Amino acid sequence: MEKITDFYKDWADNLANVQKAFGNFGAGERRESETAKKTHDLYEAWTGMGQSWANSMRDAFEEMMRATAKGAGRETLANIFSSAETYMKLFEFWLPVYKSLQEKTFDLASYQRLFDSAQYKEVLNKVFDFISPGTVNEFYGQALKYLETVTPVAQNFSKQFTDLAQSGAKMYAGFFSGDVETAIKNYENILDAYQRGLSPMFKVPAMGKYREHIELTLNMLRKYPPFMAQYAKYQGLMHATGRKSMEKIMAQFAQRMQENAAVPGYDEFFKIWAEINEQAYGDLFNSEELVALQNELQSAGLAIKKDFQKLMELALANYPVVLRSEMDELYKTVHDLKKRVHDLEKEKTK
Amino acid sequence: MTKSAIAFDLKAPVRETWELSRKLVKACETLRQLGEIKAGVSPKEVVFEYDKIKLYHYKSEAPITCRVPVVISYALVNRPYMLDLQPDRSFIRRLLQEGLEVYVIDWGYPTQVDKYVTLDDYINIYLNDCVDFIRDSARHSAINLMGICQGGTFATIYAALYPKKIKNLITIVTPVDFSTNDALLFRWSKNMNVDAMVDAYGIISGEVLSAGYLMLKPFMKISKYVDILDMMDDHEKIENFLRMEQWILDSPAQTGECYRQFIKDLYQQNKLVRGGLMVGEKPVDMKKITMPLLNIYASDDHIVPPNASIPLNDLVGSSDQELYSFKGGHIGVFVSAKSQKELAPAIASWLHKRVN
Repeated sequence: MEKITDFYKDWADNLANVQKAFGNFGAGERRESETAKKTHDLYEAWTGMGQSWANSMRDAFEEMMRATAKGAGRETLANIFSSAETYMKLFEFWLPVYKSLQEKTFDLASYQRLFDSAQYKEVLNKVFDFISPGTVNEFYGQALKYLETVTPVAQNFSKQFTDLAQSGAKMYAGFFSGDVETAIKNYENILDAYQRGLSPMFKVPAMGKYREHIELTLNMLRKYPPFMAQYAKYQGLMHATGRKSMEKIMAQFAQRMQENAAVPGYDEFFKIWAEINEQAYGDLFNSEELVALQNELQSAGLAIKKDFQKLMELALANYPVVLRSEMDELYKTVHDLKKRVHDLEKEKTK
Repeated sequence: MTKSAIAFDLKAPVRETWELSRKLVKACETLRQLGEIKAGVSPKEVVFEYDKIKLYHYKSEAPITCRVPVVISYALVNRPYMLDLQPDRSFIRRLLQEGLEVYVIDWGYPTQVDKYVTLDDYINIYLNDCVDFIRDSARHSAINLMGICQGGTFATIYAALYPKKIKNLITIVTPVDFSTNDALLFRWSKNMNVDAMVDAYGIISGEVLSAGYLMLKPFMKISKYVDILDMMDDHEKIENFLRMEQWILDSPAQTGECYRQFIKDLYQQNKLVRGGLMVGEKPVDMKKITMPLLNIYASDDHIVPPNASIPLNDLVGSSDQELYSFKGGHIGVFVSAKSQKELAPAIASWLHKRVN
């Protein structure tokens, strides 16, 4: 208990220091200044401070997860930490606005110049829990490792493809740029590279039963890039909506400044941000375009999952384990028998 | 880092973020200190079990004044203890206080072994067995059936198939007309590739379903957890919040085959309205619902919009029917103060008039 109490104290002190440091940032140099560079310095300063805060919070989070029993409290705590992180991350975008509102220099054009859309995507990625480019690499890496494990003809297979995977990393990252055309081009490049790289495999004679493993794996790998291209399109729509919402919020503030309204605090900004985004994403989720894309994405993802299940069945076929399809048959039989027994019992009771 | 000139006061924004940190520390202390959160508070006993289904009978301290018992069919997607969260927010307790005898069906937590359980099983076996058990125990040929949300759709189908076993039908926030696009779930489900989903997953896990629900209002979710930080000094409020959180997180899976038919026949083909719904070998004819009907919808429901519930009254053959609009949302129908004060007594009064 004492340890936990000390931990709270240390953590609170740490947070206080981080924020005190930021509060002192630029003290004693309060000259009139309007250059974008200085606003940008401020932005960067907060990013640094915010990072320290986030690091401190992550440590605290891990400590708390260890100390808190499983259950609603623990889950709630995890959600609170995640939401607090978003709240703090968003502060980066508020700070330059707050500065220029206070100084009555706020205008949409300068805000748009300062707006770091890459950073803002991070906020949205957190809100929607988007997968990262690393996941794509991991997927390919695991698929290739699998081939190497189950098919002797594919020994050192993944080694051969390490270079390809590394050079492909940039292309994977391109999937997440929100530029759909680039994503689709990258998809074609990746598919082409893998097909060229894999074609020698099929020239190896007498591959026998391993051929099925390789074909299934390739089939799955082929489906992944188009899935990712669709995913990029989906992310692109989500990011674009986020950007538009932010512009809408800024337009509101520009209006307020013209009306000489009081400068809002961060909490107020946060509330406005949440409300406007909720409305904008509600409209997006309701649109034909997103609904169609969501369904295509779901079908593409599930097709990969089905291939993966088939592949696992094949890989486990020689081991003393019950396969999914065998369990399915059993479940079906159990269900049908139960129903039959129930009907007979009911008939008897009548 | 370069120190640049700053011509504005940083104290206010820094104070706000510092406040968040302080509240976060406090939240950790508070949540760690809280013990187990209990929900489902009224005394009850299991009176019937089959497969994973349990039928609970609630014990009442108040005299039973409504001679015919009521059985509640709740949705598969969440747990029925939302109707009995805590003593001062218990829809069931209020019904008991109003003199009703209450049974609740708990559909349980399906696992992969249940993937082939169909809509036919839920209606013609599980629900039918529960109704028969209560009819036998209470020695009534017909009992009152109250259906909630998806459980209300089940209740409606059941009442159409077995009209003689149901004396009065009460539906609460129940979808029957799936043609509406007033709520995202309805829109999203229309073109969903449910075959691929069921074939890949077997059962549709609670996590998958919850992720869909959370996507309905993603920013509200963030605001909710930031706002709750302001309540950390009030243990009672936090406990109430956690009870609701526990309920939200406690999301059972849906059996694959039932989910497949529910999405295809109802969300996608709207067969309760258009006709043609088959449950097992039995055709569902809504006009066979001739018992008195009380249809309750929530005016601000973003999960089952009013347009999905209201048409029920036009579909049935009941001459004694009432449409009740509750001002509130999908959950507020059961847990709000207004629900305790107005809705539960109104339901009890409606039943008393028709039973006694």
